[in-house]
Amino acid sequence: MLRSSFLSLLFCGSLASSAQTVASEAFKLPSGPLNQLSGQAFLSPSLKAMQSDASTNPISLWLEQARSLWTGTAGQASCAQCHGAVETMREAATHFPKWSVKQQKLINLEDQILTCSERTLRPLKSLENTEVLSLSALLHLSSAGLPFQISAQEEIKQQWQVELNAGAKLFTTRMGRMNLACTHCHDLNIGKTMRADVISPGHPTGFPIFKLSWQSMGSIDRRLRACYSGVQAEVPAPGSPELRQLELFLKSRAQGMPIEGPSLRR
Amino acid sequence: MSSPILTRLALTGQVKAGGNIEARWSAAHPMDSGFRVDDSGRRIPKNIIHTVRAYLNDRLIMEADLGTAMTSPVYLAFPVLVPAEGGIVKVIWQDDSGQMGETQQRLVI
Repeated sequence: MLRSSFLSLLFCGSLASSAQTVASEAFKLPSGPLNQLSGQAFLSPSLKAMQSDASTNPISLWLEQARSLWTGTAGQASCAQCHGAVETMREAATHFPKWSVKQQKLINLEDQILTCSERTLRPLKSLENTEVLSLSALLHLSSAGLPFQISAQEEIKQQWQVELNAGAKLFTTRMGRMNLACTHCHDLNIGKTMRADVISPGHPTGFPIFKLSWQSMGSIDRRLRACYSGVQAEVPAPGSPELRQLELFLKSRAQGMPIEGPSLRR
Repeated sequence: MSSPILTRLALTGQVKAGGNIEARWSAAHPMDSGFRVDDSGRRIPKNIIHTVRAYLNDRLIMEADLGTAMTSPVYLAFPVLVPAEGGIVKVIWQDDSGQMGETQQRLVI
């Protein structure tokens, strides 16, 4: 009896082994300075494998939807009617967040997609709407390899600088019951483990992300709110100015690093 | 109106008559187990994809009864023996709310 159950255990093991050979490889931090690494470097080997294979990468679902939204079906408003092929939008994701003179606030790419959708018959409402996230994912994918182009024209430079400074201040201000600022983890303790994860420098090159713990895609807006909740601070509402200011600061902090397109995260 | 469920069917491996390929099907279904609550504390009713059927040229080759422990997005992989004449792999699913969907891919030899 004992022997047979042992044998069946062995059998299960061999069935699962092909999937687990990658998973059992230990995560190793790259050698050298850690502060210029993207979140990609902090993925486990099994997640990296999942990320690089389109047939197992869940983000493919969203990208597929985005491609059909972009070209549209007959009789429906589509992105391509104004913007042409998505390949011509190669730089679109690199310029956000930017100062909108019309709305007098910082807007990011997801905000812009919402604004665009208001011109159609089917306006989208939420920043975390599936269609907003999938279009954002597609645009970030087409910008992959390019660095962020975070800058402002002369006439709005002053206002833009105020926002950037506010973002820098938020990054270094202690908050929440944990009494931590972003900088305490993402500058001073990179590479150490926190709960079951390794702290990364927090460079926003891989957004929007598919986070396994969310079981869904999420924008940088949602990820930043999750950080507020992590330090047990009052979580700002989606689309709050402070989230855009932080995003602006993070992207200027990651100047020169290439955008990686939508990515998997734990 | 609930938003449409994104599904995807990918066929991996070399497609040749008599050979095995792997079909990988995934669906971004919320897979609400019935144990979660929403922001106001109300219980979200159970709504999972409970049945998935795969057909090869309209012949049933795989049927799965899924439970609440299934991940979201749902991911299933199964082998397909490629027939000499090629054909179409079709996956049909149904969830607790009555929603159904279908994805298909052509086997090109």
